[in-house]
Amino acid sequence: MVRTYCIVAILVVAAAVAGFFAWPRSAPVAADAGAVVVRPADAAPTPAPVPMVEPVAPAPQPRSAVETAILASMEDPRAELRDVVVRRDAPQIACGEKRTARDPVFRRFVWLGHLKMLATDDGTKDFANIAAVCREGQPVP
Amino acid sequence: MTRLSRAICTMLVSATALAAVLPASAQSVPNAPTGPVETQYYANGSYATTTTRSAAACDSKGNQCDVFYPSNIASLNVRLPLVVWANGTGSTPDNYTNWLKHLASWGFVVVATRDQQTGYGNTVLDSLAYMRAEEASPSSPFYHRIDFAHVGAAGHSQGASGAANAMFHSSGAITTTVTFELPNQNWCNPADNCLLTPTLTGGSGSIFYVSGTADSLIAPDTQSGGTQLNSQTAYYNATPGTMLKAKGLLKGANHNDITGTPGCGVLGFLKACANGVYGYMGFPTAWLAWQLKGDAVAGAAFKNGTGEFFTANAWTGRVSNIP
Repeated sequence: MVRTYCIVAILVVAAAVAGFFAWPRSAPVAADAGAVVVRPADAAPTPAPVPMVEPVAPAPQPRSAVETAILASMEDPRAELRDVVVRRDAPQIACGEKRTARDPVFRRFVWLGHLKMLATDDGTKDFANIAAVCREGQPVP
Repeated sequence: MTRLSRAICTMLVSATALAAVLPASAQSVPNAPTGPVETQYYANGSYATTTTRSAAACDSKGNQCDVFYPSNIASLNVRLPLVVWANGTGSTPDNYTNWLKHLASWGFVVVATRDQQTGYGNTVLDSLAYMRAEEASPSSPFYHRIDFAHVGAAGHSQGASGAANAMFHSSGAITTTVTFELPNQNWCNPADNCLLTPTLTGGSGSIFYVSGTADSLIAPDTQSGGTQLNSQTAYYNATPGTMLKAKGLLKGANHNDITGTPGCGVLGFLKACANGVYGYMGFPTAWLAWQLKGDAVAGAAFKNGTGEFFTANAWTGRVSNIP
């Protein structure tokens, strides 16, 4: 008799525990107000879904050490570089294009890292002579 | 082994003693002097020198200043001329100690801000103001020891711009400048951190442009064209004729040879130093001795076309308007 009561009690407790875990306690359930479909007055064809274009900022590219050094030398927080190429046989020399707050047009530059000097293309043959240092095999100043 | 060590030691001591006794001009050095004025000022002057650093900032950017001066300045009966020095980009006076001590040995007090961006010249003028305060302070070694009627400027690379700018913006307090490796304007970075044409063409004082033939990328003698001042000749020609001016290039010297100690050492290539500072010691010091100490013989060396400067072996690209 006692054994029967024990078995029944165990089954009741087990059912209670199972019910406790099975019950969807935290999921709020909206009251069912019925389905309401709103359609446009004229039955225009439904356009194909177009993914919304969000103005996503490009992921910032990690700057190389040489780009960081060039930008630091310019003392202009709005300065930008692009197409920066480091000379493989003379990694202290880099060439590319830059623009600054005061000169917002991208212009070619030459960077001599060991001298911390930056030349900007002024359209003259003299800059072309300087830019020759960007080519591998040229003497390093 | 002991005997060998002793022999090596003896050789080293002997070699060191020989190097100390022999005048450097007698040794084989690049850009060695040839004439009497260049030889005189190539050698160190008669003063032993001392270097001090300001206890606090000496310029508006928070940099300290180093001062190089004759050790016996307190016992001298004369006030000494002052030279304000401007460092090249990313450099401090530590890069120029040989040259700066050389000037001090000739009786100049040299003040050098530790600013590494001196192109505007503002911190150079700050260092001048610092020395004025020192000169007025009874507790300073420079108390009543500086002749502010004779102040010059000198600088290297960006600092060459800074030295010239300091002179042109000093309202006449700085009367002469020596520029070492003054960069083309297409190296100006930022654009106004250099010697601008209107500043130069409206200036007064005197100026000696010094560069090296192996610095053709940054401070070449000539240029192909354009409206910017992209050569030493262009700077010289743009300098008003009312100013005393001279220009010359050391043969084979590159952009950083002024940093020699006095040579470049075995690792000189790491700092782009090839010939060392030797050639820079003679005529640039003579120019300052002429302009700030009244050495007329030194001044005569720059006489247009006929002065010693124009026949010196180590120099080329020379021109001056000194009568």
